[in-house]
Amino acid sequence: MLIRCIKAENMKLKHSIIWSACIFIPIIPAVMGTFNYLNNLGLLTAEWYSLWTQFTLFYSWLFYAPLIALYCSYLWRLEHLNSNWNVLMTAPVPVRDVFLGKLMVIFRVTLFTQVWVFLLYVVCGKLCGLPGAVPLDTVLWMLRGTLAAAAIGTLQLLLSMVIRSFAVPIGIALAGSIVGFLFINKGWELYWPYSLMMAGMNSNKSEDILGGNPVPFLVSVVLFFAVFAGTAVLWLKKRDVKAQA
Amino acid sequence: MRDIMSEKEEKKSVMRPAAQRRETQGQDAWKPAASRQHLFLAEQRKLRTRYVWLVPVGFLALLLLWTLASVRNFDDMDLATGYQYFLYSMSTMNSIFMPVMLSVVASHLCDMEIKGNTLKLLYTLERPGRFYDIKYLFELKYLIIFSAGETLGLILLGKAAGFTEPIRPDMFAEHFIAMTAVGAVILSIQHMLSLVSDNQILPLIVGIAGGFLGLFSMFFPAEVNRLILWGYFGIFSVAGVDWQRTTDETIYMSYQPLPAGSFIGFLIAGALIYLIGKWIFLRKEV
Repeated sequence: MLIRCIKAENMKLKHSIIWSACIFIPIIPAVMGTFNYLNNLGLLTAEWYSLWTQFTLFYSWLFYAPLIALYCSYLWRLEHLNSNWNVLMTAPVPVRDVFLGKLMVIFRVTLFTQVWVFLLYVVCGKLCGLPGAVPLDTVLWMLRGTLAAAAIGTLQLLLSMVIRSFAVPIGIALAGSIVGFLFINKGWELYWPYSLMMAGMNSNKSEDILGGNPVPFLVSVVLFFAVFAGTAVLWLKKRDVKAQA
Repeated sequence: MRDIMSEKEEKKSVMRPAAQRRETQGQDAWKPAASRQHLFLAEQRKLRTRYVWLVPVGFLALLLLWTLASVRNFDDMDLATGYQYFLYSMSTMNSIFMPVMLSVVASHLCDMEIKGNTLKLLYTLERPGRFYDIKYLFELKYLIIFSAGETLGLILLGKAAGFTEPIRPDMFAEHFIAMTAVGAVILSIQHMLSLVSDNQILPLIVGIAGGFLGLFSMFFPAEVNRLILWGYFGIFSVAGVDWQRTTDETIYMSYQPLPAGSFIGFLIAGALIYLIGKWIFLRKEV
């Protein structure tokens, strides 16, 4: 059933403008981060690692979560319009699969975004004339950042499901990201979902913020995922839908 | 008596040239049934229980909290230039957060018309142009609340933190005017996009991309920076940092009054952007 739900969600995204957001938005930090790196070569001396910080600092802090929120709002908007909630809830599939199907699609789009960001990082690095191959650390950090999307994606999917406005969940994501910086500065990054991306992508430090031990980070991601997904499924089971007339 | 009068008027109307009659009839058809006051009231009623004010107030609270957190490590020298630092850092933060906040506000207000497919009905009650203007004014209200709250909040935070620098009301007034003006121009773009797009993803993409551009444009040369609308929060900042003198220990700051010529030019360009947006909206088929 879950596979069928994923297929149905994938069909909804065919020829969608969401792919333009995936492609277009990461180009901005890529171009500007590279430009900034080239303008400050005297200060930024750690080559690939310095370029990494320029690429990902603002992306992971302020724009990654709103971008995922944008994907989630888009996916739920289709159900909020017309009487689609009624159709969705009367489909012969468990509500758990309805939610998880949407979540899988969000992961796929997020994974695509992250791969695209990494590709831009490699291309820009080579265009800047950086020597050698991309450090393996950065591949790991990118992977961790993608895993952090499990927590954020689930939370945003829950918010977009409950809040019928398209824009408000995106505003919440940005606000959460601002607070996330305060948490990360205090060293509490594992206790706030919006800080996990910055911690996972190690975007403001050359040395690993997690100290080479990813277990607490993974536990935090899994816990947030379980809590938000559980709440969403419970909400779908217990609450009556509000469909547009 | 009334019947005789109306007969006379009818005759007069028949005697007028056909083209002129058509024009008059056309005008009558476009005349809105509702007065401007009623339209304002109608817009106000649409916002009941929507809690749109929570968006600017929430962002304002977060930004002031952020600013407050930065004051904790201030020494005596920092306290002597505290307000300049506040005005400078707030301009930077506005360039990141205001585009997204404005896109959220505009989308929230306009999407109700798109989702409810109300434009067809609204056009039978009011002129499309007037609807566009009134909707924009309502969005502008939230921007003004945000800018005024920010300006007052900075003064109060400075007082609470014990800044020794005297308050310059003229600089705070200029900060308020500059941030509101730049925000109003960005809002006009968001407003048009939110009303024209059937799907709100486009205006939100522009809002997020605008935040990115606004932030990064500050690191660009001045000539490039001037080409980016979202970078004007930084260009019109009323306080600046002298990076030549600034060291790790001390930040050298100074006030920089709003450049009158550039600001007037920006306002004219902003008015043009608004009119172009309105023209695009009026061409939309509902």
